[in-house]
Amino acid sequence: MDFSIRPANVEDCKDIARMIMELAEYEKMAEHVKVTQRDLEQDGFSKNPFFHGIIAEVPEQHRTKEGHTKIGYALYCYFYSSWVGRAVYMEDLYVMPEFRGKGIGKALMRKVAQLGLAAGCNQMNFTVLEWNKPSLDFYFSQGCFDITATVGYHCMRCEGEALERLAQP
Amino acid sequence: MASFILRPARPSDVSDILRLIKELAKFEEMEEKVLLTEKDLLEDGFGDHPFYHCLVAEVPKQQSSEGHIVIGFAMYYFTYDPWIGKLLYLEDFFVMQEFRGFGIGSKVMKVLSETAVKTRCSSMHFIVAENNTKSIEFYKRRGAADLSSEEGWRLFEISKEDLMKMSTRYCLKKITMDIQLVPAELVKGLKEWCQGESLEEDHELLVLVPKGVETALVEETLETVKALG
Repeated sequence: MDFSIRPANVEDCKDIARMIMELAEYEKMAEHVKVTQRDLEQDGFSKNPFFHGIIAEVPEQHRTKEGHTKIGYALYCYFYSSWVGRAVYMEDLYVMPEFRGKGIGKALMRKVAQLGLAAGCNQMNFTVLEWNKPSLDFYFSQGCFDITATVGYHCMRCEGEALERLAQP
Repeated sequence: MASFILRPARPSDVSDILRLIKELAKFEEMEEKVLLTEKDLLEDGFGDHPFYHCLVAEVPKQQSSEGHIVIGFAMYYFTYDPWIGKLLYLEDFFVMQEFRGFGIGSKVMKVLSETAVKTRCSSMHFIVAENNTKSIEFYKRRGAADLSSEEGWRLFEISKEDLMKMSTRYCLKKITMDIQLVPAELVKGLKEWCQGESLEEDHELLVLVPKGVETALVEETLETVKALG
């Protein structure tokens, strides 16, 4: 199947917001999503963007029954490792179910790797849910390794009330 | 009781920051993984577009047995979560052993969380090794949740070598070719074209591509080739 991979622009935010929700539903975490289309527009496409996006698009003749041609995306941002310096964090990678198995996920991830390397990055990190076997299989086949399992690193979060309390004198 | 101050790092702090990064890595038994240099820290933290921010903890000179004034640091940056928006990510956080228990760590967490709240971050994220029970307790006392245990998130990594493999669709196989096997007219044609375009011969690259490969793919692959020297 024909598809194209390109950097996201501000007009893509509506579809990105839609697909963020689809991915969150798949991960059984839809109630955690607070970001809106407007947040994405402001945070991703202003002078100092907080994230970057890649879109996978198919031609009109392959659009979904709801009329969508934007059928996959990746969101990533640059971060810093105190061990290796510049690095890229792939925040989200998603392809709509009916378009899987056609190399689109690989192509999206490849684009993030290329852009990361071009920006001088030495590493790429991302997180996967431990029960998400299809994704785990895909990532292992790409040569990734699970540093939670091998090194015992746990992701921690301090948010909402806990964050505010911490900030109190 | 150690008196101390917390302040944003300055370019002149990079030597201490690297020293403390290595001390923390040593504590995590990963010292050999630190490849960063002072030059990297200087360019990446104090250039036009900083990749990280740093807080340092300083004590008066007479209080440190080895004469160090900078005895703790926290390295952080801002990232984005598609569900909740802006995040403050705490990359490294370390206080030298002899200065622990004096409230320096608590004060660092307070300043970072103030920064997070002021810059409208929804959350502060960081990583802890599961065997580092002291640190896990320190964070949990302050309301942190362990997402790996509670929600099943596993952190993955891809090294630069594997990133490079992933970014080219075909592996460039090393082919040892007798130069005479390359059609002479191809080589001649390339030289003549370069001369016509006033390009130096040393900057020529002849790429032999299997029949039927799309031009777009060839272009995309060539863009990933870096010419050194």
